[in-house]
Amino acid sequence: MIRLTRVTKTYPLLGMARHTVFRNLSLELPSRTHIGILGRNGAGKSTLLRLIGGAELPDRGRVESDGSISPPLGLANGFAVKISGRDNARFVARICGDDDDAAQERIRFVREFSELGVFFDRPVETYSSGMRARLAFSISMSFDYDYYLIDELTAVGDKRFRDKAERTFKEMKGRASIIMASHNLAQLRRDCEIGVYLKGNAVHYYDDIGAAVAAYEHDQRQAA
Amino acid sequence: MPEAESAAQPLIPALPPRVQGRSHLRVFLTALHAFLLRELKQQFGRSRLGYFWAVAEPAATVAVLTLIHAGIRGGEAQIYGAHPIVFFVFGAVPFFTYFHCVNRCQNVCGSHKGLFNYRQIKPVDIMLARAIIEALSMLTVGVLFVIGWLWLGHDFSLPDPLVLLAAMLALFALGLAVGLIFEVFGTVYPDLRRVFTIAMRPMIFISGLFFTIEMIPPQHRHLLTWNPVLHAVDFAREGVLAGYDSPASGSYLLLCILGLLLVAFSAYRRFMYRLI
Repeated sequence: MIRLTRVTKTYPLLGMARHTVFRNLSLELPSRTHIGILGRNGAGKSTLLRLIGGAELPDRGRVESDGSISPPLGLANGFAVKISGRDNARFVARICGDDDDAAQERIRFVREFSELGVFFDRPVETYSSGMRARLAFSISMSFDYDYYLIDELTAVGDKRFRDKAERTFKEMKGRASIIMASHNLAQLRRDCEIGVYLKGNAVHYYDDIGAAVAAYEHDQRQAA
Repeated sequence: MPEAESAAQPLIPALPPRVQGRSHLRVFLTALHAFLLRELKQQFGRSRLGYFWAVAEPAATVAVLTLIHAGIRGGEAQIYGAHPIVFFVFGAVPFFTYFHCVNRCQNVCGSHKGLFNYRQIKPVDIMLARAIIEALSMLTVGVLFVIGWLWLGHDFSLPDPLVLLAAMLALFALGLAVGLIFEVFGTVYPDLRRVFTIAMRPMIFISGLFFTIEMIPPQHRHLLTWNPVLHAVDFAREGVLAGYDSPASGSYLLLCILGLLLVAFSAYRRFMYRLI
C-alpha cells in the first residue's frame, strides 16, 4: 500500500508566483493491483509518479509505502546516448548494487526481453523512441520491485512489444503492482483494475478502472 | 504448439534479487564508481579523438606561449633555470586541471534529468566523477610530457614532487568547489550563468599560466594575489622548478578551498530540490 497524506506540491513560476499541482492530496493506493492514472496533459500524472517514486519531494505532507518502488520510468529515461544499450543496462545494474555475476545475468535478460538484437550493442542515439522505451522497460522489469512506475512507456512500442508488456503485466498480477500513466484508454482498461483520475486540482479514486475511464471520456466529450 | 509453450514459460525468469539495505556511503561509492566508468566510456570509448583532445589542448597552449616567449626573449632564454617549455607545461597542466574541473561540472543537472529518477543518483556524483576524470587526465598529460621530454634527451628533475601533488589536489578541490557553486546557482538562477562565463574568461590570464607571483612587481601583487588559483599554480611551479621559491600562501589557499567548499555544499543542499 502506498499512502500519500496531505501532500502539497508546487513549482516556482517567474517571480514569486507558484503553480500548485496538488494541494492537500490524500490518497491510498493498494498493493498487488494494477493502477491506471489518467488525466489531460499537464494534470500532474508524471508529478504524481515522481512523488511516489521519491524522485521529487513534496512541499508538505508525507509519502509512505510498505514495499520497494521502482524509479518512475518515462520517455525521458536518462540514457547516455553515446554508449550502447548494453552499457546503459550495465550502468543501471551497477548503481543498484549488483556484483559482476548478477549484472551479467540481468543484462542477458534485458537483451532477450527487449528484443533489440544487434542494436543492443550499438549507441543509444541510433535507437528509435520505441526502441528506447523497450530498453527502459526491460531494465525496469529486470529488478524485483513491489511497485513499478511506468510513465507512458508502453504507449510508443509496436504491437508486438505492447502485447509482450500486456502479458508481463498479467504475469505480475498478484505479485507486484504496476502504476502506469497513459493516454491509451483501451490499454488502461485492459491492464489495470483501479483508476485514478486527475481532474484539475482534484484527484478522483475509482475502484474500477472502467468507471475512471468513463468519467474521463465523459468530461472530454463535455469539453468538446 | 509454440503458443502454449511460451505461455508455460514465465516471461520474467528468476533474476538475481535487488541488493537492499546498503549504507549511504556504499550507495554513494557505487554510484560514483558507475559514473566514472560511464563518463570514461562516453568521453574516450567511441573514438580515439577523445584521447587526442585531452593532450592537444594544453599542448597547443604551451606551443603558443613558447613561441611568444621565444619571439620576445630568443630561443635559448631560460626561466628559473628551466627550459621555457617545462615552465609553461607546468603552468598549463595545473591551470587546466582547475579550468576543466569547473567547466565539466556545468550543465550536469539539466542534462541528466532522467537519471535523477533513480533515487541513488545525485548531481554531485556526476560532477565528482567528471572532476576526477579531468584531474586524472591532466595528471596523465603531465606524465606523458615528462616521458616525452626525457625521451627527447633533455633532463628533467622534480625537486619537490609532494608540493606539486598537493598543488594539483588543491586545484582539483578548487575546481570542484567553484564548479559546484556555478552549477547550483546557475541552475537556480539561469541569468547568473552568463555572469559566471564572463567571470571565468580572464582566469586564463590572471592565474599564473605564464608567470609566477615573483614576476609580478611587488607594488602590484595585491591586485592578483586574491586569486587562490594563482597561489595553487605557483605552488605547482615551486614543485617543478629547482630555482624557484614561491611566495604563495598555503594557509590562504587552504582557507579559500574550505570556504568555497562550505559555500558549495551548503548551496547544494539548500537547492537540492531545484537541481533534480
